[in-house]
Amino acid sequence: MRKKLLFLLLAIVVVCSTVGVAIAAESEPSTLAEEGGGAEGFYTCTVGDYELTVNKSNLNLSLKKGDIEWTSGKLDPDDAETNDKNIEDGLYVMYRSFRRGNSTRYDRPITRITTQPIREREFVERGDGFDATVRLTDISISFKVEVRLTGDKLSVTVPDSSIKETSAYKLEQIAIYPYFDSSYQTVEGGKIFIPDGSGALIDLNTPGNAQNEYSQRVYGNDIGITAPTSRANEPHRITMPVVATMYSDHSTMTVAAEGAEYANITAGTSGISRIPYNRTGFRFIYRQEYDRFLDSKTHTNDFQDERNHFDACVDFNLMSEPDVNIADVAALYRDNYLDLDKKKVDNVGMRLQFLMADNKPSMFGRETVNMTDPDFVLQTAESVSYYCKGLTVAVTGYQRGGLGGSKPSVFPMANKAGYRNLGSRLAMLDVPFNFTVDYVRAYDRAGVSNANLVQNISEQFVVLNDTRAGSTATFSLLKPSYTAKLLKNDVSRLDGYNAGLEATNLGGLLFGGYKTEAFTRTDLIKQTVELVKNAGVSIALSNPNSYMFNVMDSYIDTPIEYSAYLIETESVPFLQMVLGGYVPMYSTALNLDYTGTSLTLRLIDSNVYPSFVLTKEDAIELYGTDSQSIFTSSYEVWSYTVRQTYEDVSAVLQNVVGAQIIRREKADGQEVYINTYSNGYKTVVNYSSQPYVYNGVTVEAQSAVAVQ
Amino acid sequence: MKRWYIVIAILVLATIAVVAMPSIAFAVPYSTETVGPEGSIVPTQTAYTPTGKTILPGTVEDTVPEMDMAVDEDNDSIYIADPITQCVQVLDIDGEEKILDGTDSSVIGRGTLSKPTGVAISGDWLYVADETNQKIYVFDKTTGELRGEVGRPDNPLVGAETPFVPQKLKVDNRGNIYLVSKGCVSGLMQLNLQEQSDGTFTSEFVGYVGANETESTFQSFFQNLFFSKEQKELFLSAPRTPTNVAISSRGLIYTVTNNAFQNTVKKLNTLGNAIMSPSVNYSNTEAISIDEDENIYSVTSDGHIAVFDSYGDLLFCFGGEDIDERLGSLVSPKAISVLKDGSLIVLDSKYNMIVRYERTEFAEKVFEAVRYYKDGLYLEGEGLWKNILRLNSSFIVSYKALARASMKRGDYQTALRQFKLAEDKAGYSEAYWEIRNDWLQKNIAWIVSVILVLIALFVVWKILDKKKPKLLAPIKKGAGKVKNVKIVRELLYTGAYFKSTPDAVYQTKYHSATSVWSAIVLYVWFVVLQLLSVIVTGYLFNNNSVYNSNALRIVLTSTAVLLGLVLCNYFVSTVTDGEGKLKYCFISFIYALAPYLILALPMFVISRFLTYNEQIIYDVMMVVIYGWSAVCVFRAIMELHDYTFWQAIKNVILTVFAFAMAILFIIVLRMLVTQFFGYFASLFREMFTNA
Repeated sequence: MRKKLLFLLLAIVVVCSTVGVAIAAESEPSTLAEEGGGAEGFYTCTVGDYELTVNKSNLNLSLKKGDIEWTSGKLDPDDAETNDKNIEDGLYVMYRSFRRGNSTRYDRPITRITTQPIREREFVERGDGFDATVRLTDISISFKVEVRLTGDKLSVTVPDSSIKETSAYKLEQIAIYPYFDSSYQTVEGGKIFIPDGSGALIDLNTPGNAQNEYSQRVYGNDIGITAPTSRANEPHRITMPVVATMYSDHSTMTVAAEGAEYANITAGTSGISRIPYNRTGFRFIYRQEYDRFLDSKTHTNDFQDERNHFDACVDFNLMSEPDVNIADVAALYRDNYLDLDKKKVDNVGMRLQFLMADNKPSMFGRETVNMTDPDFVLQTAESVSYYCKGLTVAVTGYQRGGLGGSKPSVFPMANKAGYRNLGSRLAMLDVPFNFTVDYVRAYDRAGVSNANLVQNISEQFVVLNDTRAGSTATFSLLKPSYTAKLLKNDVSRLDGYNAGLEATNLGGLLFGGYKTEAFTRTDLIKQTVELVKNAGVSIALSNPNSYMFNVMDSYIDTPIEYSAYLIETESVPFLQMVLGGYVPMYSTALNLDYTGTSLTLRLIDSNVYPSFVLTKEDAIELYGTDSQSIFTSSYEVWSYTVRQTYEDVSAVLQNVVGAQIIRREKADGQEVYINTYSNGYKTVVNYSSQPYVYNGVTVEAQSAVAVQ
Repeated sequence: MKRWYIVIAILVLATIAVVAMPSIAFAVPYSTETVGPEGSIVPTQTAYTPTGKTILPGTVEDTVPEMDMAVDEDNDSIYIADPITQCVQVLDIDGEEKILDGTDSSVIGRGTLSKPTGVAISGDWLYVADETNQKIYVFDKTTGELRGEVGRPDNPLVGAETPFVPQKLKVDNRGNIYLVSKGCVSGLMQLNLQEQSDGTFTSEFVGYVGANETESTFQSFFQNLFFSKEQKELFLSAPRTPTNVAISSRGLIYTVTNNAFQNTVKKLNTLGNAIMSPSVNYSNTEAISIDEDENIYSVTSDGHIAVFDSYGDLLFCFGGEDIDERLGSLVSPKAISVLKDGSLIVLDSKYNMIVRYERTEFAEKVFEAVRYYKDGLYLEGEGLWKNILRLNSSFIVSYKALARASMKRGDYQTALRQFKLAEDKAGYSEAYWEIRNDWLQKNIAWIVSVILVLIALFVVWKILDKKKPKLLAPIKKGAGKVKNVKIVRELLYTGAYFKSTPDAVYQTKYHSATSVWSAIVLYVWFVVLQLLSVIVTGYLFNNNSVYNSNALRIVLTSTAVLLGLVLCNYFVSTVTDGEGKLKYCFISFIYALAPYLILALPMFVISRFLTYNEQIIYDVMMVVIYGWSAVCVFRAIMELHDYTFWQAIKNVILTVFAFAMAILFIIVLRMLVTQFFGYFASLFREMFTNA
């Protein structure tokens, strides 16, 4: 009996302890509640010319090289307004609290979450940096930070495997040294670079009146989670995970070296969000809010359950030279982060894309509207190649029935013999020939099986509206496996056409897929790179993301300006500085936004070759089709402008074919830009209404010249 | 210059065409639209590019102040009424602060103004409307010195209950103030302001102009229909108060009534009557500005800028609500001004800044061409319009202008095509009349000959029929055989419905003069006629476009309506002592439409040869056809169900009502079924998600 009682008592004790431990684990796991004092004081190490000092309590760090100092969370001695804690910490964590049944978001520096987030014994000195485990015991989240100084580069990594969390609190974002190399109030000669469009500078001496921080997702939003937007003239997508802060005595180029597909670029000038510091950096997204659909219309707000898995790594490339030029930043980015092979570029190029056919509703189904035939394309190419040696020809809407509702592949083709002949004749003229095709989106009218379509996190098929004005078409996203199948199938059937591919959206539209054949953004990057790399055919990509730069053959739809956010002060051709001379870059179709001379000047300034979308018939015939946004395209109408634009661009850019921009300057107080190229030539572009004299050469108003 | 520069500097090649464009055009965060085919809004080349911004003194507030702006280019000044800083800020045209003459200040009215919300320039004076002080202040525009003030007029015509809360104002060259007084439903207050010899000002109330009419809505229609007098008084709706005003250089007054359903912008003549409203009504228009050619530039509260020509035709619309903080997008625009060079400046009170837009080369061409068109110089502007079409094939205004030029040249065929593209049916009719006239003149001889031959053949036939009947016997016999085929005979029985519907129905009911099969053929013909009405009817009389019509939809709709009405009529008749069986309802209903079935197609064909000059012929004929068909159907119902006149009337009304109820029932049923399945789908989804 006593034994039974003892056993019962023991059982009760065991059960109570287990429950107690479980409850404790729910609120504060034992692993995070280890004993040990908080880290205090500073750790200093010297690597090469740099001296790295870190405050062990909040990971605030500084780097010194001679008289130059880089700090994270720099506090100006004159700044009495800003709370130290708000901008001093090295890391900032956004998390969700699910306690008491409510979901509440918090965004705080680590020492505001837990007073002593670093234990003394968990701060490990490494000689070239340090490792520290951040234990946010108040919210039961911990992760490791690895900081290494190599040469001129400070790398900060948060390994995915080190992140621990519980169900009561969920990690949403981590900002890694967001105030690294920030500056206080206005700074003469100070600039922030952000990769918006072709690139944009924020002048820190004349801040704009933006009310919000610049905040954009690298490689665009994940439409597998958030609903796609369908606005015309959307801001440019971020295609390169690089930002920079530039001052008169030093600069920093910051790159999301790993986990860029989950990174968000932020930038703000003094005063925005009541923070008197100019700053830019990366936040890494581990979870997002999304609309969970209960049926086709009703939805409820939900929060991503599964965390995004990736190693977050930010490289701070330290540039100790004074007056660093934006071209220096571009060169550093290209040399250290892109493994580019030089493509053959012998002449100033021009791309002519021909719309062959589309269709529109009629009384009895849909009526095909034939706009161009292969013979006309050939005749045009022959006449244009007479003056343009770098001509590239592409065709779209060549499928049976025209462009609208076509299958997401090159085949079935409307006139195989015609295009075979066109391909062979263009090959004789040495004019590259491409079929434009979209392997990422499929028209809903194309009848692609649901099994091949991507479902979002809410397990709904992703529907994208055609953003072209007047079009009512909708698209669905294709699974990467189906994309690969379509492309491989097309390539195998393209023999005899002497043609390559222009793939729109491939390598540009980045998303994750859920439910069956689930994949992440990281998976899609790997698959797309491999697919294009091993395609066995020349592939041009439309405004692709940086991970495609070394596998594509040419770059089409190149942005030649920024998005003109109020925070931005100047558009710079950073993208062209990175890729110029390595791959040919063609603009978007100029005839649809033809602003005349200013457009030609912008092309020259950006070192981008012109592109036109053309037809044989008048564009009025396209009214009622999904392509009615092409409101002017007849070659008869545009032939003169095509030639004139090419000749204007070619006259200047032929001197710098294959060369890179190594310096960009703006003439004092004038809208005149001087780009210096690696072959010694300079292009001088005068946007102003007054003539400009450069080294004895008069550059007329609204004109451009090349000088050596 | 250093020598080595001279030595190595090589001027290379290109100097690109010079175009006046004073600064770099920024990226354009919007698409530009215009009116395209069939009145649709279509994209076009960028007309204006944002070229800069000026941040105004003061801080950005969370609230959106009711600011205003007046531009005086001759004096190189921009005046901005700012209720937050309680003064008028003065800038030069480039956006730099402008110091007033004899002072060290760039503000006017500090200490005097409480809530300046409107500002206007005329002559040497700056007029400011102050909502809080309920006064109009007059300042010297160069020194900022206060010269006078105007309070509520004491004229009895103003009305004791009429509020005097100056909000916006404009002043013409003769010193007439056109004032928007908040809450004043009588229109703009017109005050005449005169400077006295002692330097003071006197004001005289002249009257009200530009009052709006009470808007008629669907709701107000039903209220008027069913409400008692007392109830109507409770819901009495007043006309909307104008919210802004503009004056052109020719002294024409324009009013803006924000959130009006129609006529948001009105152009008034000297009598105060509306003589023009823009073709496209942007109900949320905030402010407008008029250029020297009377083109209208409007800005809406959601950030769109729309440009209309002096006829009210939309030329461009661009912009849109700013959700990204991009230059060129607007959040809370309050005023717009067009400068002499055509560039625009817009005051955005949310960002406390003014944004500048400059015309592109394309827009320059359009405005120049519009000027020619307005002056009736069609041929002179032809080249420009052609250039515009090169840049946008869908620029419909161009086709209208080119068509006028073609008409003037006598090239009516081209004009016809251009009028059609321009959707200008009146112009099309004119051109077609000329072409038809020309054709008739050329071909009148053989037309008359053909007619004479046909008459001769008819006469010969009649003579032969009388004198030599045997000669025509084989033909008549053949025709008789065809007529005796059952289905043909039954189809030809439609003629009997023409002549006497009751007798024909009687024959159908009791002697099987027609059958279900022949009725089905006629139903099919009716549906085919619906298709032919779209395809065959002439352009001038056809309200449907082939491209906007779907054959399947037409077939299903017309079949459903016909059969629905037949069924409803049958069911109604069964409960209202009708005698007709469903079979005879089915047959008689379509046979009774004989006038339409027989005459519609010829009218569709004839309409192809008519112009608007002969519209009366077409209209009368169509009324006859529809009216005759309606009478036949009515008489068929009477005979079929053995109704009296009033019973038949009641039956028709109930049939229509039953048909409407059936449609309503189907709609409700569809909604219920959708919601039923949707509910269970979401329930299961929620269960699986949370499981």
